[in-house]
Amino acid sequence: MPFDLHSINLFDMGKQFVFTLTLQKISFLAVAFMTFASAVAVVTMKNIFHSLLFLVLTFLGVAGIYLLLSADFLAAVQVLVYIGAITVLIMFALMLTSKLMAKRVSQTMEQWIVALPVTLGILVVLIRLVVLNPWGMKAAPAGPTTGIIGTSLMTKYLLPFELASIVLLVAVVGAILLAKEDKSDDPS
Amino acid sequence: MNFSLFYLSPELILALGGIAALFVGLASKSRKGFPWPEVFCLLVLAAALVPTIAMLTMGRVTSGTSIFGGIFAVDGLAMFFKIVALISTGIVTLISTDFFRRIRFHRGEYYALLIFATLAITTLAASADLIMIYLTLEFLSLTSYILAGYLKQDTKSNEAAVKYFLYGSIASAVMIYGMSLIYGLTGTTNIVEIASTFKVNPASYSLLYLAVVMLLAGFGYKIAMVPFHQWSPDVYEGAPTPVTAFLSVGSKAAGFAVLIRVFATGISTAILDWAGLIMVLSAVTMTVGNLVAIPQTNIKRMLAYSSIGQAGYLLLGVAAMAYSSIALPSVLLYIFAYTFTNLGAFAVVSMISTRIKSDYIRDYAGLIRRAPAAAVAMVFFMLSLAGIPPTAGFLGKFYIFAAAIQSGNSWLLALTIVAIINTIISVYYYMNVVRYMFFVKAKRIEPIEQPGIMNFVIGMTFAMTIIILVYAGPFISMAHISSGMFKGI
Amino acid sequence: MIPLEWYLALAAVLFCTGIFGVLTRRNAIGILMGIELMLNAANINLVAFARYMHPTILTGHIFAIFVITIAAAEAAVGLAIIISIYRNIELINVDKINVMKW
Repeated sequence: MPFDLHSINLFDMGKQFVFTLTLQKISFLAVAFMTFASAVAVVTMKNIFHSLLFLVLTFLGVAGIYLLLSADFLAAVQVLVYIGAITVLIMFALMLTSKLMAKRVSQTMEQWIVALPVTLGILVVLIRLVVLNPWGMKAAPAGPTTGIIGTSLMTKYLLPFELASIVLLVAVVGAILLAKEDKSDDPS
Repeated sequence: MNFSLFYLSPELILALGGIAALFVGLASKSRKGFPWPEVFCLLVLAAALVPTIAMLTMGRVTSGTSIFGGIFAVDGLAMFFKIVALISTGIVTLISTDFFRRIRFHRGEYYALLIFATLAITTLAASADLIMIYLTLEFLSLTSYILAGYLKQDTKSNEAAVKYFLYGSIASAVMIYGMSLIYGLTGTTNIVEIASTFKVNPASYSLLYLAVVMLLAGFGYKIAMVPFHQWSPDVYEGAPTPVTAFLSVGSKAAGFAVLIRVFATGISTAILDWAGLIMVLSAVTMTVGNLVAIPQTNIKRMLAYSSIGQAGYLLLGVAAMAYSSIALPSVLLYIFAYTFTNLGAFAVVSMISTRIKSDYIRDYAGLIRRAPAAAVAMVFFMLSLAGIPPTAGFLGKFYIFAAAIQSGNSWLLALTIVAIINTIISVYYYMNVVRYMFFVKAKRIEPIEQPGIMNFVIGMTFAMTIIILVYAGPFISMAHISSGMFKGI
Repeated sequence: MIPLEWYLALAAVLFCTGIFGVLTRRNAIGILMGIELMLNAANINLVAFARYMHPTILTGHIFAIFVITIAAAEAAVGLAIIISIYRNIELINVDKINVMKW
């Protein structure tokens, strides 16, 4: 473990940490910090349009994390779908409903006094159980992932793959149904 | 990977039928003339029912086989829930024909969505891999959100859809985080592989427990288990009544299907002692559901809390699964009886409420004079939900209590006593409806129109609630046959 | 090599940030953004586990792809619901104006 958690001396801990920094670790810390900061901005910004922009940054950060994890295909999918599609969807919805939410565009945080300790409590539980769990895993060198994913989707995971296309069809039909304007002349 | 297309035929029929239903809806825009979308929907459901029953009765599938490399299970449990889903959607279709009679709505797409929702339930019941479970659970949720908000011009329907969507998405996000943790702990997403390869590192026990709790957030929200039940009263009240009926029966059954499969096959009690947790949740769910049902004045909200209570009794059966061999058949039998009972109750509500233009129990006053057949049927539905003989609900409750007692586990016995107390409490609010129907003077006494289709539906569900008790044999053996589950690779 | 725990820690922090957003936001779209954060956190978990356990089988990647797909469908349906509410309330406002005029 490069980061000895049982060290009592804080200075020794810091020294140990800095000496084992590699370029990889520095890039991880940079991307992780950007992702985290953007995420905090998403949930705290008063103006929800600003929130959305920081959401884009968060998604970019996550794509960066995928690249650090050698997940090349997934990083591309993340950018294409999350930033390219979902963000645009949210933007449209915000703009279409902004008249209604005009007063609410300046979002204040309700009840953050209660929410913050609850969230921090959950965070402590998660860190203690998930991060400090003895995983004991080492990373083997990884190659490009696209071929493996493609093969899996066409052989072992063919059924969910085809089912997902029906899910998307239903989502499209339902979304159009709900969002479209109903002129009164259509009786059915 | 060896499979025959026959095993997948119900799903294929539903998928192609749903897509075709979209076109049928397109072709029959006007309301007059032959009701093509409704009839087509029923035909598709019936066509999917045939291979399903064939697979269950041919006996080949009870020991459990799987296709697609362990993702899709073809076993008794899956077939049972498919049958329940197909029958419930058929009944819901009939109820919808009457409910939407004078309302503007997108007709063709509605029935197509019902077919797709049924497809989601059938695939969920057969999912044996975390990826498949997540996909199909979300599929069911998505169609449910759309159906709940279907009456676009009704603000209650809008509100129901939004609340359902937000609660459901949060629950599913928590669930997927839990699934990721299980993947990390076991290295696989296949349920059966999880069971066979999992050796618990004692240090990881709490983490596994946390992951299971997160899974329960997702499954529990679907079955409206406390504390994930908050969406249920608002959604039941606001959604169109046939959709509420569908959610209370099909969606709940689907949630139990996946709960049973994951906990009986994947995370067995050898790995994690989940029975205690389920027992606590069962007690809380029963009590909250029954207590909060008492002051309700809106009949759909009352039925929502009643359904929450029913989920509590079913969870008692699920907890007993770890200790008794008749627990699983008892749960299946209860679900089967509950399906017909609840659909019958909602059929009456749909028929009456659309005509008296009110969902309040006090407006059901004097129903015995205005719609005598429906009132009498409703009495039996209320009795069945309470679990009083001579109804199917009584048989279901009896069987579940028997399984709990037979197990000999003292906690289960205590829980059974809690359940019996809850049953007694529930009699109050069920009989309250009967009281209004029979003994309270009505302000208006003109008779309520009872159309043929609704008479058929109410009559059929009423008949089933009696038949399931009187000719219990075939249904009990069906429950036993269906208890064979895909357990081995 | 970056230890696995770092990725898991980031995912946990992101997950909790999403929870905070869900708990504090009043705007439905704001809550949706919190949900997206939670889903991304789970995805990071999945990809990290896949990388460190089975870099040649990549089940986690497949799972993550399906999660992203469902997230997109969910966002579409959810936003459509929100838009339908908006249209309904708009309609009601316009009706009220008509009634008041006459």
